[in-house]
Amino acid sequence: MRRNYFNILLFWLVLLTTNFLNSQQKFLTRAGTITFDSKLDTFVPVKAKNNSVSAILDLQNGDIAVLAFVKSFTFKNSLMQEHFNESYAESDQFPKATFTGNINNFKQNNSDTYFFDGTLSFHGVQKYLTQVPLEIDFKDNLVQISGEISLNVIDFDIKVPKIVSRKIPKEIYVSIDLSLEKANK
Amino acid sequence: MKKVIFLLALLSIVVLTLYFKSYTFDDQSTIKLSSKELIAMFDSNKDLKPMQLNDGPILLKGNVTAIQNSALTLDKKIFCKFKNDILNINIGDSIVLVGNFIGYDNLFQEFKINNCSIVNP
Repeated sequence: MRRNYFNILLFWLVLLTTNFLNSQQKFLTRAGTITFDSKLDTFVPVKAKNNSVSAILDLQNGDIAVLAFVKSFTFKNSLMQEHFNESYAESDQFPKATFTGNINNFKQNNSDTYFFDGTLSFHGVQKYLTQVPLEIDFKDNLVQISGEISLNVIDFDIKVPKIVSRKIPKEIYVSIDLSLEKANK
Repeated sequence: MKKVIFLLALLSIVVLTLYFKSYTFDDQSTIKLSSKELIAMFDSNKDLKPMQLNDGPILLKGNVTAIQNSALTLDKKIFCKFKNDILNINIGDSIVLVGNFIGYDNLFQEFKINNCSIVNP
């Protein structure tokens, strides 16, 4: 009987220790930033920012998952934001953009330029990306990740009416800025 | 000249009346619910936003279970992001806030509400 109790206690101890060790390896944020910008010299800039991006990084293997709600992208021009959500991103139908994959040859506490391979999902389209450069900086118990990539609008099945096609950029620069802290539990 | 001033004054009154009417309408369309009611709305499918939750603001009542600078968590399941740092709120407080419902965050397994402000501290 006593041996049974001991076994149960040992099982819970192992489980709790494993969970604790796993959480020690995870860094996360709920307030990351993703910006997209056409970088074109237009009268009204095609630029939007989302600063409530969620992200989790596993320090053990470099796996990373990023999630952004499309409706959380804010534009300076509210009419442009409305058109973006209703006509182009169709955010009621496709509310989330995700970015999941692995940072190659990831080494803990080694600040450097790393390369990411993984899948970007937006507007119901999944695009596999390779060798995306990311600057990773380990500083004061934080992991800072930043990077930029250019994407073609046409790759994401976004229908642009001919009448406005001149005003809609064909290429968009997406930048990411995450400041991840150690998971508490 | 007097006619122009009269017309401008009339136009201003019309615009202001319409503006305040739409503002009042928006205020009335705010959905009021508790955090438990919000969570229950997504019982069948976390990714399916119920029709009642339009893009307008929601009034939400719940208990504070965590606070981080400009964000707090209600009942361990609802992450509420504020524009500014949160003051005079403690863990365990029962609060009412207003904010824009964003959706269900699969990574953290919680609901997200942005642009929050406290209605009763």
